[in-house]
Amino acid sequence: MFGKMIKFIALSLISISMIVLLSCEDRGTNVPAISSLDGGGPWPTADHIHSPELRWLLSNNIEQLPTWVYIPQVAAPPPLGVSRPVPLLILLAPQGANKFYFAQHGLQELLKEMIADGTIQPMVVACPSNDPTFGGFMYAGGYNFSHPVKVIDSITPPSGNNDAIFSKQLVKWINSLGFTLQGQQKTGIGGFGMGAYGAFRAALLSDAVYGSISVTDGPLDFDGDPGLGFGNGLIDLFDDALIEQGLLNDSTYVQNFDSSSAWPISNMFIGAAFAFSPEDTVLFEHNSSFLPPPVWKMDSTYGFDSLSPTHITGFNAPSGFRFDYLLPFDASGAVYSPIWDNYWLTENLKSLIDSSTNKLSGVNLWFATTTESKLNYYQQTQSWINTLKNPPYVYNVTEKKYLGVPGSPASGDQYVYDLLREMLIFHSNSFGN
Amino acid sequence: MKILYRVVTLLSCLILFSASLLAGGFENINIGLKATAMGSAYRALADDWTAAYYNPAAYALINDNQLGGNAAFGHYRQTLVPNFRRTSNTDSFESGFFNDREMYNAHKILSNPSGGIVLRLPVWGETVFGFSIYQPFDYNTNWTLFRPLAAYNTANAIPNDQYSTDLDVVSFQISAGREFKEEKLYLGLGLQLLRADLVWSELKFRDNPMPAPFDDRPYDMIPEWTHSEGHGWGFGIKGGLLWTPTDRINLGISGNIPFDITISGDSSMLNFYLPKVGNDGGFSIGTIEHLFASGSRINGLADFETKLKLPPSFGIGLSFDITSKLTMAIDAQYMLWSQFDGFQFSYSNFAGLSGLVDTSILVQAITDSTNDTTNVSDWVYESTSHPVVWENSGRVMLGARYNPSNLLSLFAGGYADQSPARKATQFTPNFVDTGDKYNYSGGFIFHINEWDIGLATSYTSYPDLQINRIDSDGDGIDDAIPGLYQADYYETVLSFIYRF
Repeated sequence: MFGKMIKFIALSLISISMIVLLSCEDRGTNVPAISSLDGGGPWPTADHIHSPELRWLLSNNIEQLPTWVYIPQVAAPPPLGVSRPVPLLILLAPQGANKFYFAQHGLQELLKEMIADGTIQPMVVACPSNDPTFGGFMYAGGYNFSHPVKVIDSITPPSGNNDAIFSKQLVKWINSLGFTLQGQQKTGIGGFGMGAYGAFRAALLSDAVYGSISVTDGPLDFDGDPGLGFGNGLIDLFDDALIEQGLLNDSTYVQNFDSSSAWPISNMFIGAAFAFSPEDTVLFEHNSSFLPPPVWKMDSTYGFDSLSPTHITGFNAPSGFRFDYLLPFDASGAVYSPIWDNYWLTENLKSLIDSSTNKLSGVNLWFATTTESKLNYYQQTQSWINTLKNPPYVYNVTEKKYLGVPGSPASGDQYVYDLLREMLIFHSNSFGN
Repeated sequence: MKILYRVVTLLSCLILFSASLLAGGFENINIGLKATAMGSAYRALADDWTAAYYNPAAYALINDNQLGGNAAFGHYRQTLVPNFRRTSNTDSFESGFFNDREMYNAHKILSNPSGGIVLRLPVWGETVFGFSIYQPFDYNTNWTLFRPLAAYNTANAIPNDQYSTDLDVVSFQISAGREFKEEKLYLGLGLQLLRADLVWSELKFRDNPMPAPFDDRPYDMIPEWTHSEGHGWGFGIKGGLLWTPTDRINLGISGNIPFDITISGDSSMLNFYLPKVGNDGGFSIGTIEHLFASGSRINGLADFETKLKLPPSFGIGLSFDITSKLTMAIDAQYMLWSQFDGFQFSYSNFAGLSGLVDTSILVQAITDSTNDTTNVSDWVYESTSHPVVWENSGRVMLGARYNPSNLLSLFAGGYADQSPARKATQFTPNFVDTGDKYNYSGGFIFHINEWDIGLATSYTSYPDLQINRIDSDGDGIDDAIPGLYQADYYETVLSFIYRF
């Protein structure tokens, strides 16, 4: 009996030991280790004076383009890095956003994490500010003599020579710093909203500077394509501008169209007017006491004279002085063809690509687009994508369609963080090895 | 035999009824070695000090004075593959949970001692008294499942006990059992002094009260980690009946009524992990805008109070001596888990907030994107605990005892248990109860003179449970923490009883 008991005890202990060993093994918690972060960092004051390109820019007496730049660790000089040049990505902010727009949506932390864990290759990312006056000038504007149709216009539009900056000078300046690889494939550009238009415009006006473009919904087709269900673009949107000011069906709107920042849609039109339309609001060189003489207007039929100089900093205008600007709409709010056809549609991407030398050939294209987008940007984006995907271009376009979560529709900037992650991956892949 | 037939029929009905229910709770089912080894089918033949828990009436059958003790070692082995994202009709956005990854609760071997003394005294004729200390309710788990997405201030790490429950209810029980009809009917009563200790941590996601762009992703949800430690005292009553219609059959009926316990503590912490917006958004210190762009962690300390509503229960058990060496037992229990409504914390005596928050900020109003306005203090101190709706549940237990010799007893058993937490909307890692549970147990005791020394072990199997995304209020935030839950429970009990 005693022997049996000993066997029983031994078997029991072995069995229990096995159960304990097998069942109670410490598995840990499987929490992933915190990845090391890229040791690079932001250069938040990479502000650069672009002269004379910004000499005529409203409210910018020092001709400076504020810019936030992220420099990855490997591109930094020793001892932090190894001075290895990396690709360059330029990100253009939407209307009304400054150089911190992307940083405020987590760009720096995304770069640190994604570079460190190998999700993307190290890259310099430059985020110039959109212009604070009227929320921006569509990243457009050039010396009048560079644009034949404007040859009888004033000396330069009040938006400054953005075309020169974004199509060439900005990349040239950053490349001169020594952090970046040069060449079309190693240079990308992206943008949100108005920045989306700016990104394509810069690429189309440049000579093969950008090898990849990523954008979200934006004013990418001014007149849309109603035949294909893409609406009338900005034409439809102008009613919204009048509605936001309570001026719909008000024939006096020409005199009462408010240029204050309270009306974002209206502001966009005024900014675009300064970039595209002929006007007399220029001729004022900063730090100069020189006031413009009366300037010949090309077309004053619907000259808006409601722009108060109080909206423009750094300018001590005589009492009662008011700037004029020309919108491409008449007193009834209908399209005014002399301005619309000759000055605005010529700046539409569909026109620019026709006159472009590179026509985006070989450029990788990525779109994030949502039906919840504001300002009928979705329809304009779809129309532009349709243009790119069909003859004569037939480009391969990567299109990400997305929707916001309930209670937080993707009407504005809500999902910049998530889209940035995907845009960075797209550009990283486009940059190649 | 007629009575046996009826009881078996009744228990069979209970089994069938139970099978239609789902499974759980935090009752400590196994008290003592024999009960553990017999799947807790112990109401009708409890013959040691643990009768205090299963059926105080069985005290009357204990002939010797006893001193006994158990050391139980348990291990919750749980796995969760989270799928907690912010979702739209077509898209999902990462939340910071370790989604699609097998996560484990923190490894811990839980010790659960218990013991009691039983004395037969010449009171009211002859009455058996006992004093015992054991844990009728017990739960312990701890998870680390989340890390804020890049863009938050990574310097402010959220503690590892993100979803953590350590609940112990200890019963200090005085029991008495007495024969009321010679060798036929026995009654028993137990009076419990209950001590509840609670350590509770939870991670919640608060709507960012600021307007755009402050509440743009990933700052739309602000993590709030709360941690509370407290205790409270309460009372309970246990009563039981034991009927022995024949020499070979015992029928036990018992019930337990614990009264509500108010748990309070003075160290409840509320930590908010605020967004880190680049350049602090360019705002000045002292403004709400700066606060919600600073990436700082603000900590609050407060007293807290919550009510633990323990469930009453009642059960019936039958034991039958098939031979002189073999005894079978079957029990059924019904527990009124609907009494339990979760832990709803109320806070008071806030000690203020640390960091960038001062009284001038607390009184300021925030207007969000939908023009709803609230004061900072209202947002911070808003009660975020939610009641749970649990349902009553049943359990059926089956056990056997075999005495091959006077020196050795062998035990085997198991049970099928049901969950009170049947609503997926209430499922959190704080209580992992995934469905019908099945327990398999076994053990042995050596009888050496006045000593009984033994060991039992049990394994409880939980089914896998897939919690899908549920967003009942349509706010894009999952009501529960969706994912694939898996669980097992292992327990080993060492025991001694000294008879004198």
